Amino acid sequence: MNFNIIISLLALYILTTSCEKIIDVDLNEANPAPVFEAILENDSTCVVTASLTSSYYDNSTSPAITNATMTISDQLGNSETLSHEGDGVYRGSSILGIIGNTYTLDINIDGELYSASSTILPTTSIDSCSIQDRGSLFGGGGAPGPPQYFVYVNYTDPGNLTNFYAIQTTYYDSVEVGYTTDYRIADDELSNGISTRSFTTFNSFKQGDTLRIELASIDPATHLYFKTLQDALAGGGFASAAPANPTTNFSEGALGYFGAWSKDEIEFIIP
Amino acid sequence: MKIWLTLILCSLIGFGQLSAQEGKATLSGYVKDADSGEELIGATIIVDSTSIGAATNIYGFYSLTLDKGKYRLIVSYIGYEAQVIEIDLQESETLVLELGTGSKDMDEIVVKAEKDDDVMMQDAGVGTTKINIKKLETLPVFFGEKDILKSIQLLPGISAASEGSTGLTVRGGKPDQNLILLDEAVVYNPSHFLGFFSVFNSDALKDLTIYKGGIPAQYGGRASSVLDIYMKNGNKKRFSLSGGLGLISSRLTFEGPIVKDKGSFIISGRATYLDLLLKVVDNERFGELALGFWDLNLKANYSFGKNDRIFISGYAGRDNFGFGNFGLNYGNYTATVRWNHTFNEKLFANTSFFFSDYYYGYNIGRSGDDFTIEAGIRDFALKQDYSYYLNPKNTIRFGVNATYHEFQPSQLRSSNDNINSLIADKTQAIESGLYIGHEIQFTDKFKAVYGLRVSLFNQVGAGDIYTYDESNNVTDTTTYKVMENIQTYWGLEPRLALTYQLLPTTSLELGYHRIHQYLHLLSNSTAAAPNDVWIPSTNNVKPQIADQISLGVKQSLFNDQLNIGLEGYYKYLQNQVDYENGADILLNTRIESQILNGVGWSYGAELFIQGKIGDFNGWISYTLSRTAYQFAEINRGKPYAARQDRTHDIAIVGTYELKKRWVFSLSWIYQTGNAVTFPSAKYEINGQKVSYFTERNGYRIPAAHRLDVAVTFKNKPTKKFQSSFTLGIYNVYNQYNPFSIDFRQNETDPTRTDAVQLSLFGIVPTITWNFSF
Repeated sequence: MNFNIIISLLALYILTTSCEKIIDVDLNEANPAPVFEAILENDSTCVVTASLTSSYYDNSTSPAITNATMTISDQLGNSETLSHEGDGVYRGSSILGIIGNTYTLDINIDGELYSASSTILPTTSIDSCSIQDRGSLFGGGGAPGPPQYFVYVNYTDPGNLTNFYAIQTTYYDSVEVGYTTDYRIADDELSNGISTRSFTTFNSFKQGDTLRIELASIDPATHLYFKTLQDALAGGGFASAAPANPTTNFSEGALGYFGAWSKDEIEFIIP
Repeated sequence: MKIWLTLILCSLIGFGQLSAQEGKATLSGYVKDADSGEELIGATIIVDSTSIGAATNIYGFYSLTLDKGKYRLIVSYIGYEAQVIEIDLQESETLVLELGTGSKDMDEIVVKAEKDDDVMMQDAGVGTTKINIKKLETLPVFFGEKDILKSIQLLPGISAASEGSTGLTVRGGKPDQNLILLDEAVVYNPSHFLGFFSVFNSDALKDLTIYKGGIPAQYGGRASSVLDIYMKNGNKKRFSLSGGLGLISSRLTFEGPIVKDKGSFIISGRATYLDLLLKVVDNERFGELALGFWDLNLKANYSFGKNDRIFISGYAGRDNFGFGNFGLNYGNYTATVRWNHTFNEKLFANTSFFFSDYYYGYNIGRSGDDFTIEAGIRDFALKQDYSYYLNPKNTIRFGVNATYHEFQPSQLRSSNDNINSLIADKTQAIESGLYIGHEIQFTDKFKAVYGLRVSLFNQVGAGDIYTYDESNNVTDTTTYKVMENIQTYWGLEPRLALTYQLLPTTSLELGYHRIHQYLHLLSNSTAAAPNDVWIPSTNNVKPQIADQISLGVKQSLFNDQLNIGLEGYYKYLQNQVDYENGADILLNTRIESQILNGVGWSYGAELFIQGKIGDFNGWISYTLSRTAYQFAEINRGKPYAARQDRTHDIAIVGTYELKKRWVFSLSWIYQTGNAVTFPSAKYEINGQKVSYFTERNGYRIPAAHRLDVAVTFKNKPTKKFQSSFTLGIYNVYNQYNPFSIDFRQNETDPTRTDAVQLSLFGIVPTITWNFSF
């Protein structure tokens, strides 16, 4: 019996012997590179946020790019120049996103040219939302207190196309004290043409909580950007592949993405 | 081409005196362990004071043709006492030679020669090392689990892919570039427990030889090294039971004769019980945990008359991991059937059939609302090998083999209405090889082993084959029928190993090999993850080609008490495989279109000093090396350090035996950290902080060093029952070696970023009990 206890204690020790500590790592400085976050939704105008990369350990926000010239155009020849609203935010006024159109964003910063294109694909409508008891997912147990639910968004994937989705979930976060938005991506590799559900956020909710969920139909390049962004955010930590910059649809030298998409949204209160 | 080869071969054989002249006789037979009757692989029989001799093949068979007359022969094998036998050879005869470990008196004609049983690692030619598996038990080991894949990491040029890992990097190669053979069957995933333990149960193993340079022609298919592992045949003389009780697992081996001196068998099993122990401790926390592995080695052999012998061996092993509704199960099965036939005292043949299977599967959810992800690889192979012992100066080996590979790409089966199943069709290939190798002793001082292997790879149907354009869209689909040839690759693989005895104590060595590797392992982690995927070369994926040249000098001092080896190598690798950013390894039917091709190179110098003073044994190994890759799509096309690039790699190992009952051992290692990618700047997207990387693997995690010690205490060696305790301490001075470094937000001040180092193992004491009777 004593022998058993000793062995058990040793086994426990083995599982808990790993440790983390904060260390100093000197990082090289990189030349600042431009970062564009450019979005064109259906029935909206184009919005671009432009900034520069900053020193890794620097805790100030990224410096804005204020001297860029940006032009949005569609494949029909319509174009307009975005106006700078301040703090690196540029906005269009006349060209609205239309499903089926392909848009090109051209940016000029001191003679350096950057360009990206994206296509607005047809909307996939949200059918409803559903919930799952967090405790039941992992087979009982769970945290004490009122039941916590994971939220899924339900929709019917069109069968004739390869579809990619971005799911944006906004909710009031009582820990952070403020609204939080979580992003996830989905594709139809395992759900082509069927009524399916996608996970929205790893956060769980209790009865009465309110969420706003958007389901955007994005093009493959935007999907690849968000996917590789997710990998990059997950970090090059424990046993993962070498981290890399997300795959941008901008031409060489710029970071970020230009995404044009259509979306459906729903407000959901946990029943 | 063939004619030229034949001519060259004939003329070389002629040089080594081809004709079987009058007045010669052949001595042949087996070299065996005196205690158990176990055949010894690579034992040498040398005519005293000459370089003339023979070595036993993998079945323990030797053949030595000499002028008629009286000889003093020295028979030796690593871990055994060398024996001198005196014979008067007047006509061809067969002789079974038995070697002991020193505890028993040998036959009358045998005179004890020098003691050779303390050596743990033995140099066995160009780039080749033989391991004394029995001796490894006394080395300090990870969690008390003796493990050949761990111990060989203490040799120059071989290191772990990450701390505690059985994933080996040999001379800058990747873990998938090692040909790991268990009784000649390929083992696809040599690891348990996510790579922390190997699938090899040392109790069931007899022999391990590692080739990292000048690889002989009979081996092919992996670019960097060969680990040729053989199981024990089982005790031929008596029944014996042995086993051990450790912290992680327990082992039990039963062996004995089927018919005395005719045939024998061995069954050896190993299983873990960590999860059961954890449940005893804390059922609340660990009640739903399943965590464990088991493996089973089986082997039987039987001699039919003097010239024929059948071996059947098998391995089965599985890992299980589960928590609540999540389950993971993976492992290998291998099976080998071999038939040895001795045509005459000079020609030895072996026919083998193998089967190898690697499978992994995830199961998520509850039955009725669950899905399974699974994948695997399965091999069926036939092999025919011949050894022709022409005379003491010439041995010719030739053979042919073919393997049918069946790949199951990862697929998903779902019983959930919201998820479609994704069934991936199997793909198939036939890999074959034809080889001839010649060992020739030109003069007393100059020996060559050279050969040529022709390797052939056919991707065959049935299946749909896609052609992709530059943006990875399918441009063409062709459907092939069963066994219809889709794509053929072939290659000529010259092999060379030269040894020149410059002085009686000094020799020079030169090795060269070219090897084609037709299978590739796609991995997204440093650890040996079970869901790494083997893919064949196809119309879209080219075979890897490795060329390596090595040059070494060996010096022995103080009457062979101290051996020094210095070896330099340069390796060039073509068609190395990586994949595009964002490519999924799991459930990706188009992974082929996302494969990137590049080149790699590795060069280095390896120093090995092995010494023996009385009952003290030890070695120092030091490797200085550099390994780099170059891919057009990675790091802007500039070369970058491979993750496994190790500038410095040092190991110091020592054992001390006290009065045959106590063994003290220690090992200390120092290694340059892995090359890793760290951010150089940051920016924001969607309100999240994103790292900006400017170069691949431009940084290093800090160097690791660690001291392990162990002490083994044996009871008095009585005839019936033997037992020993091994107490070990892993990481004696509790050095927290970095496993990975992560950047994350400071918990109290979110504007700050910290570099966080993860260390897996602090100091770990272990105890193991072994017994046999």
